[in-house]
Amino acid sequence: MSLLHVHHVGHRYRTGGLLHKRGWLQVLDGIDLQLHAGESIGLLGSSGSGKSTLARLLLGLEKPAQGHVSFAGQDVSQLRGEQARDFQRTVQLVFQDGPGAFNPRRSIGWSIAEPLRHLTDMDEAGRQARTLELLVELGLRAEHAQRLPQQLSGGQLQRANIARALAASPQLVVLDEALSNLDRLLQLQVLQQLEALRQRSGTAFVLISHDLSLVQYFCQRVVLLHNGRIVEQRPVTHDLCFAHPVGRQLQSAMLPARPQKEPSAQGLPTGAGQQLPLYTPESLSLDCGHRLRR
Amino acid sequence: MKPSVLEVRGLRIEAQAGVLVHGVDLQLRRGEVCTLVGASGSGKSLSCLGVLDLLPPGLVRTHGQLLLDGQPLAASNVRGCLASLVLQNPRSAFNPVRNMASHGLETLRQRGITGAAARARMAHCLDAVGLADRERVLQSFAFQLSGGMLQRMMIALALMAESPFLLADEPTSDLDALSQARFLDLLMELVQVHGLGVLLVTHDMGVVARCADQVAVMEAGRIVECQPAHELFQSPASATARTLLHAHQILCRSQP
Repeated sequence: MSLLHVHHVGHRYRTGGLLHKRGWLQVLDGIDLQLHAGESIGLLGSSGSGKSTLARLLLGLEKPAQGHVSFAGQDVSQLRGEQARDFQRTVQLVFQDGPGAFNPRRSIGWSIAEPLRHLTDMDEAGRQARTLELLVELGLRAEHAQRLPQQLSGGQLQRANIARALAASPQLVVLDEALSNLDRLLQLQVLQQLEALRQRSGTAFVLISHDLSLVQYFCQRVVLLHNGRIVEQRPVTHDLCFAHPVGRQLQSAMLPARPQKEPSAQGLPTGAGQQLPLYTPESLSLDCGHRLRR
Repeated sequence: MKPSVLEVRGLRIEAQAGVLVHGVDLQLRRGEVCTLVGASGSGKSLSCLGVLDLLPPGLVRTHGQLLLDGQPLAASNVRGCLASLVLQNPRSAFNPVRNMASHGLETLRQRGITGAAARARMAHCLDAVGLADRERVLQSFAFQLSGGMLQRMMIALALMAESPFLLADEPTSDLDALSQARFLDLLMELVQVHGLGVLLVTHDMGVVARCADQVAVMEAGRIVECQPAHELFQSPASATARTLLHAHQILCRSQP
């Protein structure tokens, strides 16, 4: 089943200042994309490739200059009233900037319950229970609900941000670089939680990232954006390999799994001689040979 | 002869609430990269700032001796001359009302280089870090450049200062994958060609695998493990290192 359908979408922004308009900058061009229920898609591209603009168009936060995004057969930017609420219940977005996404005067618990207040008919007790459930699910503690945003660390805040997006049990969550500020350990933990949720309740995800390793870990399909166009689309397999030069560039920018540098020659550490045999040529070729071959 | 080892011994940082860094020892050798890894809040960044005695208000360095080739010296003599600093957030590291050229000239004036010589040196350093569009960059203010360009500019300033050591606090965590790869390539080139000695603070074991010679692992204000990078990846001794490596390997396993 297709959740969202993007038809030939293009988008452009006005450049220059308020008084000296300089013309238009085409940021997206001829995008066609289908998002299916229960599928996680990685939207990959370097900065300035139009990833975040596409996210905003998917959510109906902006109206595309060309083409349209449809939800259940209807144009997303035309939805009003109950239909709009239904759409918001179905699709949620998480931004990168945790501190900017919370009201600094309200507690975390209040913020997480906000979509529940607006989009569902849960009562106060139900909302509180759901908030606590979400906090625990994302590795936070119940007492965090009473804290203010500035009393949490960046990583905790970003997890609360994701918890809020999940509150109304949406069918699609768009994560716009939502994991980039977390350290590797937290990235892994959050992705594991989201994967469990995907398998349990069939939530679809769009992971917008420039980090190929996260996309490869989490997604089934990867869409490569470059200069506002989709240049490549392919299923994520174990031996994923892009044909487009931009994809190859991103692939070669990935950090190695193990140290590849030879132990430094000048300051030979004492006891290095005994340690060396552990580092067998086989273990080397497994990691790097694989990479070089493709 | 140029100095070859910069060392800090027993670095201890206290706040009113208690001790944040308990006696950290670090050693930087020229031509080598020492990485400092650990979870967030383990005191990595504080240790990095503490070496240069640049702690934020409210924190005090109560102990810690800097040694250059075994000779004790004060942090104020190290700052800017012997060691430069590259910070995580390049946007807040520059003066917003001064352009890049003025930052460069200020740095060079410290070394007694002014006028045409300063201009030439600045151009050379910008070329070395791969900032091709030199004139535009020098006339730009911090808000007009991308994060990757500012990060390069910071390195260029470090080059202008001709300091033999560089302290870098999570220099790539705000950059996208391509800029990160370019930044690390540049850093390694400086290490190998110019013999820069680097302390690199990071939480990404991928960065460690790419660059590190030595790895120091921090937990709750203490260094719990210090090993050559190869050996750490083979046999991590501390729980912190094992957890970080485990997460890294899971995220890498799906790699081609």
